[in-house]
Amino acid sequence: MKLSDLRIGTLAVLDHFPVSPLHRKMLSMGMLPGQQISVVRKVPLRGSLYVKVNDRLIALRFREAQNIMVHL
Amino acid sequence: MAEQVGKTVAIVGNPNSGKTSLFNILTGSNQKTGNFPGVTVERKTGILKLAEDLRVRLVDLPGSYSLYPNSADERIATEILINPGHTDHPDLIVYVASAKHLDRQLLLLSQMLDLGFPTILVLSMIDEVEQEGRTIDTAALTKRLGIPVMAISSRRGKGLKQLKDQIGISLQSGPLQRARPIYELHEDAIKVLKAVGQVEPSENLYLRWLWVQHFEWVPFDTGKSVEEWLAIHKQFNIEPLKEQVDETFERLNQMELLADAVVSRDPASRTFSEKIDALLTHWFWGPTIFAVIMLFVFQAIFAWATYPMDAIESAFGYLGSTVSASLPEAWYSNLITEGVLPGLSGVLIFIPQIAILFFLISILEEVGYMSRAVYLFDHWMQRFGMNGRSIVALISGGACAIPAIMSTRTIANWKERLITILVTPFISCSARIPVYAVLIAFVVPYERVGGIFNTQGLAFAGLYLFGIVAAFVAAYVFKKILKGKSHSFFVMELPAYRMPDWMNVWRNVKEKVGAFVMEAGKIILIISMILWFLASYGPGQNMHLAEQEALVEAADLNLAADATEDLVNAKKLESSFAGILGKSFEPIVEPLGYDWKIGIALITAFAAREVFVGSMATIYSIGSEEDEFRIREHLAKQVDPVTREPVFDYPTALSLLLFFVLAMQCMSTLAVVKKETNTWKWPIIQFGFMTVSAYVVSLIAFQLFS
Repeated sequence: MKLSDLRIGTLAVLDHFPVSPLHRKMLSMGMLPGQQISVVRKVPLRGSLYVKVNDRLIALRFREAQNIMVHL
Repeated sequence: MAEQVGKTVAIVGNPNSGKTSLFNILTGSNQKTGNFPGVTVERKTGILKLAEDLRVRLVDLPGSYSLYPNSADERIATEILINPGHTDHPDLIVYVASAKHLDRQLLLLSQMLDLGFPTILVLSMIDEVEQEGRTIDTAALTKRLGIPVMAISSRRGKGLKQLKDQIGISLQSGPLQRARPIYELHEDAIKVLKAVGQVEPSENLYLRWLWVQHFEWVPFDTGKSVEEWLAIHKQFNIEPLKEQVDETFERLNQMELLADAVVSRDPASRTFSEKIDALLTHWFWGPTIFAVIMLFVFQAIFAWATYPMDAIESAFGYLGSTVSASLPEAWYSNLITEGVLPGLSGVLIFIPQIAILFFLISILEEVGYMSRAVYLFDHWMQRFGMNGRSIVALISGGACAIPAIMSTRTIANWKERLITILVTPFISCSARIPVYAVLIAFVVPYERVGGIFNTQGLAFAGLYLFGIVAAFVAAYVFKKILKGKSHSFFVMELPAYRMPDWMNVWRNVKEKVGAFVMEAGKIILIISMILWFLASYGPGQNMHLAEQEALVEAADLNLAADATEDLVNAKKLESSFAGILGKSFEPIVEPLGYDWKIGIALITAFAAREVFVGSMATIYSIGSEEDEFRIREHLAKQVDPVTREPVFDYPTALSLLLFFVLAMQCMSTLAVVKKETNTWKWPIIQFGFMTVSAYVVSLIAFQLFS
């Protein structure tokens, strides 16, 4: 499923992202497939997501979260 | 004492790693801030004194996560590190990593080591980790990485002496020798390198590999054209993006193993920051709290800045009268008292507001709050072609557009930043207040509304609102017409909340104020001298004749000395170049309901809005010492010499107010826009669209209501 569809508070595992500059950036910030990810909060109406990966707090846009695949 | 500044030491690390704090404490006041040529990425350099006779140059490279850059900042850092010919290319790297999150900051470090830089790993914020009861085995790190590792606390000054000693030792010891790289290039990569050129065994393969991948912008001549590079990439089937992702994976795996071995983990729990964020990033409470904080910032700017601003004003008043009393009556004395001094005071008067604004904004940045605000508003601002960070600029614009525009440097996407710069001056700044205060009474009579409000206060609020709406409408229009990549991506770390580093706050305020004084200051000073010339001189004998005429008229009317002087000044201004200019402007401003006198005041107000009130007072010979209330009373009595109708009736005043909301009447802002965009194109466009929209709106308002 897409990260953007993940419900707040549910713990999921990062699955994969398309090869893109976004992917490179996320990797360089230490977000790796296989890590646990959860959505901490969302701005309503397809606003930004506030996620927690590997103890790191990260904000990203809804559009970007649509490209990140996770599984439960 | 021998100056040895030949060697360069670079501070490298991730954003929020404590790099800047370390840089500040190592260099003290021995530092310079500027921009890297051609871009508005800040370049910080300083001198580090290691011993009495040993000094080295210290460069603070922009915070980066990797040598595969995603922003202008990161790209500059990469350029410097992969170009041995660059003036800032370091002989030694001090790699700063926050001890709190060591495991995630080792990626870039592993790249530094593979490039063969002598490196010292500095673990910052060590005291905070120790307070949490965790430990980091620095001896094990040294053994595994083969480089010196030191723990420091910039705030307490702990470990700094040892770090300086180590820098001295490491500079002597030459290039890093490691048995094998952390990331081994695969065979295909080596084939490519061989195809590109001869590879000597002594050469750093990883550096060569980075050149191959960054061929489009490698900052020196690679001896090959872009087409040739693309052909090589095609021949060996290289996809740089995929290569980079694979490399990053491999490095992260290696470094994670390392971090696991040396860091004792804290129990997974909801951190302090997350608890605060439950409130501060809440969908409803977050924006509400943001509004309250900004209201406080706004309030502080107005309340606190009043005292120093009054002090500056009276100091210049005193200085002006002292100078004019001690200098002989001559053109240069007038130039000083009426051109240079008012110009200087026009520059200095803004300093308190700019300093207070940046003081508070830096604290919010340092504490970690700003990135939360960006998270909350990014999505709304994007609809108008801007970025979450634009909200800071727009709010700052309520004090003064100059620091507001300077604060847009944090917006990485060029188009989003440009739109923010272009629309910020629509927000009503403090210089418009005196103009609003004088004119509003002509538009709305004072009446109480619902007990606590009054009509004039509401009209005031309405003008502010109109400015805000104008800013967003303009932003939307620019979003549609400007080309450029607006689909930037935005993955931003939300740093843990922490106490501000006061040294960083202080440096930031000092830098911003300094930039304003040096850059905008020059222009304000020149413009005010030109205005002085235009208002003090006229063609031929014009001024002299006007003075004689006024004296005769005053004698006829039996005016007192003060009133006579006011009349003389008014008549002289009328016959000066500025007066002639104002009269020639009359056909243009007449459809808006203004006479030539308002025309002159408007011309002077194009230097700075607040000048308008003073010019009106001079032109209508009121005497500039009067307060707003008296000026207003006086203006109400003015009648048209032909029709005998009052000059300041409802439609004219309304049209003027709307003009002031929208028009770009601030030379300093234009100067800062020029500086921030590196071209005159944008300030000219900004001046054009703001002034045209002001003209059109005022025209419609006047024609509708007259």
